Amino acid sequence: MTVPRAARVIPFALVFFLAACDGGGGDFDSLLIDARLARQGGDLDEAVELYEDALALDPSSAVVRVELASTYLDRSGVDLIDLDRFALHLAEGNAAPDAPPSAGAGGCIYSQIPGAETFDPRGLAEFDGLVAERDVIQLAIATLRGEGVVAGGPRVPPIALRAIDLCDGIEDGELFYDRAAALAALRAQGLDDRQIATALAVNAVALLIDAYFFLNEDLPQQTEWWRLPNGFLGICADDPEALREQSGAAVMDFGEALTSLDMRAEVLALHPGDASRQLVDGAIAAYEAIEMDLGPTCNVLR
Amino acid sequence: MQRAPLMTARLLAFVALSFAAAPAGAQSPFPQDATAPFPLASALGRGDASTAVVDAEGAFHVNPALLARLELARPTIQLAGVGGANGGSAWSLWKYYRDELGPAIEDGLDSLRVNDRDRFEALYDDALELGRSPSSLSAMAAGPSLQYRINPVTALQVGIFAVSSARGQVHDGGAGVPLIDFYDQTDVHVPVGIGMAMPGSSLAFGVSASAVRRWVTAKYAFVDELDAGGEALYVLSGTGVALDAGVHARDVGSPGLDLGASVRLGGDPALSYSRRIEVSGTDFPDNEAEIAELEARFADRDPDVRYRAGLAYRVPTEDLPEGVAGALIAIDYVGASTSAFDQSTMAHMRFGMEATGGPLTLRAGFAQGYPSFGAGVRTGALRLDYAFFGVEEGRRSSQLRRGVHMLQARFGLGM
Repeated sequence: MTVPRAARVIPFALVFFLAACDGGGGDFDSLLIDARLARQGGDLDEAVELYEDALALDPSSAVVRVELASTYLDRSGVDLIDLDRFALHLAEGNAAPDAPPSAGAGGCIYSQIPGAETFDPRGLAEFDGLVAERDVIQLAIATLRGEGVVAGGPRVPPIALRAIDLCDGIEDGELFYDRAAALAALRAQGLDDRQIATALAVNAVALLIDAYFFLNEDLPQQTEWWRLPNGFLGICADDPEALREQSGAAVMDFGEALTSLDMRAEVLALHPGDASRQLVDGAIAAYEAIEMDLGPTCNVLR
Repeated sequence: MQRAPLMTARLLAFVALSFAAAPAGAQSPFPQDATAPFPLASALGRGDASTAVVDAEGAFHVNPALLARLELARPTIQLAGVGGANGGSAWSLWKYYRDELGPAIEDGLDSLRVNDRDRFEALYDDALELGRSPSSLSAMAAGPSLQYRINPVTALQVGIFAVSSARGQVHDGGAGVPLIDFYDQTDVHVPVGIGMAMPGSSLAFGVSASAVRRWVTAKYAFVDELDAGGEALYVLSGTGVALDAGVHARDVGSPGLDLGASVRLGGDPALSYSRRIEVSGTDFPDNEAEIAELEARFADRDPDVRYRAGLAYRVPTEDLPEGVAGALIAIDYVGASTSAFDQSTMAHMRFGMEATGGPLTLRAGFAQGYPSFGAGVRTGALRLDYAFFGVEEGRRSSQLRRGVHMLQARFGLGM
């Protein structure tokens, strides 16, 4: 039998037909794989869409919540470097170029301390640019907390990370909270150690930056910041007690960010000298710089 | 307060050059590029459609039945061969190290973090951006090999070939923390094969047995997990045997239309820890947990059964334009996946063509949704082949491409 010459091209034409039909699947596993691949390929919009589709199929998936929240931040260019920048500014930031407007009844007491300098909490690079990404940062937080675009999921960062006592839970640069309970809760959600580390990094960055924005954007009363000679920050307000109350949730977010960073370092068995351990130290130093006036009432008020 | 930078110079260097030293999710695949155990630039230039294409190299590495089809009026002796391949953004990573990271290390990253924040952050962002897509580097070496016809229907072949491939990628491990995904595999194959044409039939068969010695290493870790005072790549090794069998049918249904199929069994030796390569530090104890994780990762690897089937159409000489001595069109279906995932049908398809005129062969193809092209020059005892092709790292064609440039040179007699 002889095959007609024209028929010999049929197999080759079939290749191109198959190419046109090479579509993707719409099940959960396929969506998750495709989302990861889109992210690797740099198409973050496509990745977000696919992760959200996967989450719609399984709102309880902690893995998808972690990767989706991480992709939100990735798409907006918010990362650990930003956290480092905020922490560095709080702990060591320069004085404000101009004297701040007076806040506090009868003037700010910190202005009378020899060596104290005015401090501009917004005076760090890219502050305005990051403020513009605040909705995304809050969406990442909500996604990790089982809410966001697809609600009804678990709170991935366990409540044990938030249960740190900010009066007694930080001592000599060390955090005291129920590490075992936090880690067990994370592992119970089916996350492996590297996924846990990812979740904690995203949680820490998003919470700390959002808390910082809250203190600078959302407080209902004007504040005046001073860098004191001991390195701490003094914050004046017309109603100091109200300030402490108004900032309570943000300070708790700050605390959860600290425990998230600390837990991440523990999960990865990082050594004390490792960069991320140093980041934990830096974040604690940043908290200690502001706790005098914003932390819970365990401290002496001005 | 004095604080160290987020990443030390050494660790940044590891990120940038993760070959030399891989979104959080599945670890990246092993470099099962679904090509032959020894990648062939000549085949890859035409989309790697080669199971039914009569070719001396293909007889060694694709389908041993092709051995029976070689003319071999006299023994073919290849004395030596070398090659290299560069895939993805490997070159860009090198330039990044040379032009940005290297000078930054000289200037002091600690200082940059505080005094030149923009530059410090650009270093970090560029490392992630460049490393996001997979990159690869390969080196190939061929020792002496011989193909010899012992009677009109039977031929033998023996040779030694080595290929080392490294694949690196940097994922975003959350909030921009680099997650390094690095893998390297070096194989030495010693194949011995026989091909036999069936008298009075259009069929030929071939079988080949290869001793395979393999070394592998991998690193899958957040950059801050790397210990600047004692980091190593742990090398696993093992020896195994691969068996290849193939069939080739000539002029099936029409003059010039050939079919071929081959299957490879084994060739994935059991691997155990053999030695380490120190990346930083000396005299530190082995990381037993990492070694155990690595051994488990390789033990979980699926048994390697590779198969492929294809057809080739040799264009009749009378249909060729002047100056073209030969031309063919070929299609293959390759069973192996080129990624960590089961792939779609199209991602297994290879299509290509080539035309030869004088010493020059031009090739073009379409494989896994990506175009390929290449050229070969044969001058006396020297043969040069170049190919550019795409490798699909995703589960569908045209999803996550790694473009590869490959150049090979061979020197021998009767090639």
